[in-house]
Amino acid sequence: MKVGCDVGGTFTDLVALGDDGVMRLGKALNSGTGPAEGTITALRAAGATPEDVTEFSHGTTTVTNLLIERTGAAVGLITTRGFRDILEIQYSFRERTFAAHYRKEPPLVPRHLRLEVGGRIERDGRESEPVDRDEIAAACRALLDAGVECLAVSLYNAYANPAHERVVAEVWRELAPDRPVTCATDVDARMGEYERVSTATLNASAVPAMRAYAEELRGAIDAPTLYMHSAGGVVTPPDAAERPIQLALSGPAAGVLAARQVARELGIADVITLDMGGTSCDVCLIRDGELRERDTFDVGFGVPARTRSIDISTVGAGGGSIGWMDAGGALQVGPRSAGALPGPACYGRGGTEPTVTDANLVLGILGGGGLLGGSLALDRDAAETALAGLGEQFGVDAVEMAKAMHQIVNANMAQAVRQVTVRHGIDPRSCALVAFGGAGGQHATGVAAELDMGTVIVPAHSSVLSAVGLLTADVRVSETRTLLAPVEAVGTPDVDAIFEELRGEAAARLAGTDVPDLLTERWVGLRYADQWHELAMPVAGDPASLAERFEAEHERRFGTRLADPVQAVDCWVTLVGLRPDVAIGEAASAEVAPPSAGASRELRLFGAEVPVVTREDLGTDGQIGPLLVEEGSTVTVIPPGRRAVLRAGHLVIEDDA
Amino acid sequence: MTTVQTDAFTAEILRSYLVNTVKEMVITTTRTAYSTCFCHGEDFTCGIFDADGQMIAQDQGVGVHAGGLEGAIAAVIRQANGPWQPGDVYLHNDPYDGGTHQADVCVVRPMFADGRHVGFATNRGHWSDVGGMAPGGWSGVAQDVVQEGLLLPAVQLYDAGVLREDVRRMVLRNVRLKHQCWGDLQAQIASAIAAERRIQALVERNGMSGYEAAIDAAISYSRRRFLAAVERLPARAATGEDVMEDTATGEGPFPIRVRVEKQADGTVVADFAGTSPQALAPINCTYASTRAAVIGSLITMLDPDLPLNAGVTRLIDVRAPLGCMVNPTYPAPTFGTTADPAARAAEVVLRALSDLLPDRAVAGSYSTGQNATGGGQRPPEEGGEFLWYSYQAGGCGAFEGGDGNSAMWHIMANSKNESCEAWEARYPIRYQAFALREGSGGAGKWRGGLGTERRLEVEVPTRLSAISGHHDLEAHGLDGGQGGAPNGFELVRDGEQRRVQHVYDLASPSKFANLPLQAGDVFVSLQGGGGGIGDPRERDRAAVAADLQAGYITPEEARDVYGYQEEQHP
Repeated sequence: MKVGCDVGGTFTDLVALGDDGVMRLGKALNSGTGPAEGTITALRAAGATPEDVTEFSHGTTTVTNLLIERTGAAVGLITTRGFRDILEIQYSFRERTFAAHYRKEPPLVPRHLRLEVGGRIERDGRESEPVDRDEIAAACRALLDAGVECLAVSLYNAYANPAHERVVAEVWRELAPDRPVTCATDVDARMGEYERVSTATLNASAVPAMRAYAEELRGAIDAPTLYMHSAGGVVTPPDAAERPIQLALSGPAAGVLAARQVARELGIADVITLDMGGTSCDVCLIRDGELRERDTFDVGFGVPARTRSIDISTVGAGGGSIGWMDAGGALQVGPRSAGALPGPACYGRGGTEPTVTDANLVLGILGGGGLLGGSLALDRDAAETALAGLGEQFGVDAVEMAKAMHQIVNANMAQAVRQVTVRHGIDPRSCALVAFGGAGGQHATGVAAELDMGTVIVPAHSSVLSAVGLLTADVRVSETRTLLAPVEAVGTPDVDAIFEELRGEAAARLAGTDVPDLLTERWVGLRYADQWHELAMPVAGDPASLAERFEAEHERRFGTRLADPVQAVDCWVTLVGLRPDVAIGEAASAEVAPPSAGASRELRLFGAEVPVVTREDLGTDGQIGPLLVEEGSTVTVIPPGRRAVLRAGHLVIEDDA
Repeated sequence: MTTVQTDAFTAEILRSYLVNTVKEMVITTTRTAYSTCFCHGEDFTCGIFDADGQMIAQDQGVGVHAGGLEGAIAAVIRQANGPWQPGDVYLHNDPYDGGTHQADVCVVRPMFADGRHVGFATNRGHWSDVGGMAPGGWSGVAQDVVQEGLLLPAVQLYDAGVLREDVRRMVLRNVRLKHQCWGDLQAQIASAIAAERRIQALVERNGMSGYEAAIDAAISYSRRRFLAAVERLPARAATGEDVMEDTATGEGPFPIRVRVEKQADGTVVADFAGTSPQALAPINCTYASTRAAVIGSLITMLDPDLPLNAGVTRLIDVRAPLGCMVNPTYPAPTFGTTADPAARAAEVVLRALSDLLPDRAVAGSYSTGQNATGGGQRPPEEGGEFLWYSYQAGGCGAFEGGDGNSAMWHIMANSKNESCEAWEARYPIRYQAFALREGSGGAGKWRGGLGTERRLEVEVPTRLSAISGHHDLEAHGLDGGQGGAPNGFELVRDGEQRRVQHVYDLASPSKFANLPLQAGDVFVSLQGGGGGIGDPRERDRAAVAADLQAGYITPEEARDVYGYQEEQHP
């Protein structure tokens, strides 16, 4: 069977799709050791064994965590003379204007492990001073003597000519064949010395761990395996292991892909996705069925990774988010999370601080039946005690405290949605909200109400939707080069030759894999010559129309055309290997009906006793709230006056017109 | 009681909605602006005010704009042409009446909801040019304010949504890069419209009473939080003193003095009596900037994440004699205000506050913008006219419990470095190095941050202008900590590196205009280090060893200043 497996911050989510077309869902709390144990546990929870797996698609937060926690390998860095401090200087920018007592994040590579060598490439790619192999060898030896486990090489102006970087890598491999080396231009070939060196060192630091991870997983699951990258495609295990930086936003990307397909199945063009898990909530805009990419993201502390990713915003709002009183006496929820351990107070695993999950249990949104198919029982008394403790500070009881926490976390997510829509210049009321993740259904209608959004969709298999997205993600591999040429150069033999080279480099990364239906996409980044930000445009049809298409897009997004020449900043090729779609809504779920289904429950959120039903109970006409729709691991709140219907297998909540 | 409390929680949600409304103004501005200043430097600040001009919320933006929008709103309210109409837009940049310097143009637009005038949205942003004697405005040699650019007291640009063409023509006729300026102005207006829409949505959902409750919640929240923080200030006065180093004609130094004292009701008074009279040089600090320096320094020391609004600013009383260097009057030049003078005013306040709050004490920072421009002409086929504009981060002061940051902006300014490679691709310069300055951080138990060094080889003849300061004076240390290395401008010509001042025989090392650099000259911009705190001999030995290994300090400094003996601490 085909298996999608997503290792998140708190849970491992898994879906196994057999030849019978049935989705088998598995969820396991992360144990904190390697990938194998959680995967096997989740697999067994789905009623399958490793031997059943014929195809394994994997999303993981391993690289994310390693980068954030800085637990990667010891990296040495070689740069051009005069530039070793670029990594430490960073942007010189403080996110918080008045935080004079804040300590800038120390560089990933300490200064004594950053060595400089001679040699110089000019901005046009010309070599004005050669490199000296003996000098390079001496630097490599010094770093090896200092105990570095891997090397990053990032030379000045190398985007224009990577030849010197290649020489350094060659010398290193001769001296230390077993220790990985990352050339900056191999993971980020564009102009901008700081982004390049940052991306290269982050990548290098993650290679040893990712190699070991892939090895361990291969031992546990002996089936063809693909890894999800941040831009919503999958790559091979060796590519994942050598370029782990591309996996840094692996997890959230898969959920967005599946949500896009859900929107397609329902015939909806514009949606906002809300993926609420245990730790955080990811928000993404899909417009006209298209995802928007960004080229750089912040791994935290203002440190950039320049690797393509789907433009997803994250806010610290999840089931485990903790409520607290701030210095001005206001209630705050998150961003700190109780995570899997100790977890919310109601998990009974040692947590004592009140979390959103505790609030939802006390409000009756969650029943006592428990999570993970009943294997994790919820302790209501523990939740009440935790909430009452915080309530004392505000002078309210546990129920009022729970209501306030529920509303504030909704407001936080609504705010994240507003910011995403403002950034893209659209009105959220024109979009549907697609909510998923373990806690998505508990908050979807509340968030939508804050934003006056009319339609809410809680997809089939929503508690493991990211894993579902992994099943169908296409193979996508990109290679980029800086051009800095007038837009008219695109379409000339010179630029075509660059595209061909890039295609060859991308194809080499897929060597040895069996990917059918390989498509080639050509892209350019365009801007007006004096601007600092570019727009990504596909090169399709007549290249002569590019400038006009760019100007039309600029006008659509920013409301204006300028009288300036258009410049092609960079170009890239994406090779796409299509994989067959799975009809998400139609796929039957093997999830068992929860024990509380068919009953009713006191929903203190609305102060009423409300029916608890399953999706199947809704019938063709649906039912009007207040009610709760409960499935194995998902609860969806249907507020008064809103109708819940089942459409194409997905739960759709609309105004009762 | 329960109901009342729930309402309090709702008010909190609405309060946060107001704070976020300002954040959305910021997003709208960056999404639509044209210039590098706006897009890259994010050199603008947004705020919303109630109908009386009371500040409800402001983003932190640039430090030198902190709380400084209030004066501009007051000036516009005082001078408005008749009653407010939906769609009115006013411009303001008067440095003597609530403005910072002329380049910072404030857009003020009333907000209407449910047919009522309910407040103002404002956006102060740094225009690429506002006219005057030097492109971009940074003339180190200006002697009066009119030389520095167009003055806009409170000028109505839109009347009930209708553009006043005559005003538009007049403004654009007086600025360079008019295309960029108009684009940025439209972005500022777009952000104000975005804020009005958000307030309208709030009033629609929660009624006018909900809006009013949100304002009350916002102001009382910030007031409460500030008063709680102020309790930590002892009930005694403290003073701080520093100087503006010089002028282009060689006068100076000019003392800046402040006395800070908390009152019984929690108000904090900062009194600049004793500060030097204003100078006829661009080293004066306008009152709005001085106020920003006090507000910014106070919240830096007390509660850096405090949401700024009238609840806080009403509790901060900034007194500066009219006509002194930190409250100048016509015609004293003010263009430099946001760079060196405001940073220096913040330094003296931080110094006083460090005396009052020893556990939060911060030593001096490099505290300049190191603003320098290079311009000239190339043949048209090689790019024609060029102008590069460099402003640099340096070493920040150590604080009690931590070393100062290296290569970081002081609190009055903030901007992201632009890529060296991108500069090479755009301008006729070649980077030889961008590096930390070894040994530039002031020694101490807590070490000052390191400054930076940029080495720019100019490839064609280039005219160099600059306004900076503290090129002879160090960033101060505290409690036995040493000063950080001063800032500097140097030049390599014919293999010899010397001060720019000496190459051209100038009165000032840091203030000059239109110096002729030759092709092949290397312009070296040296940003100073931060001061240290405490006796260097008390510095943790492992930290000294690490500094030595990293090359942050020299072996001589380790031995002579830190008293470090390697053999004893391998």
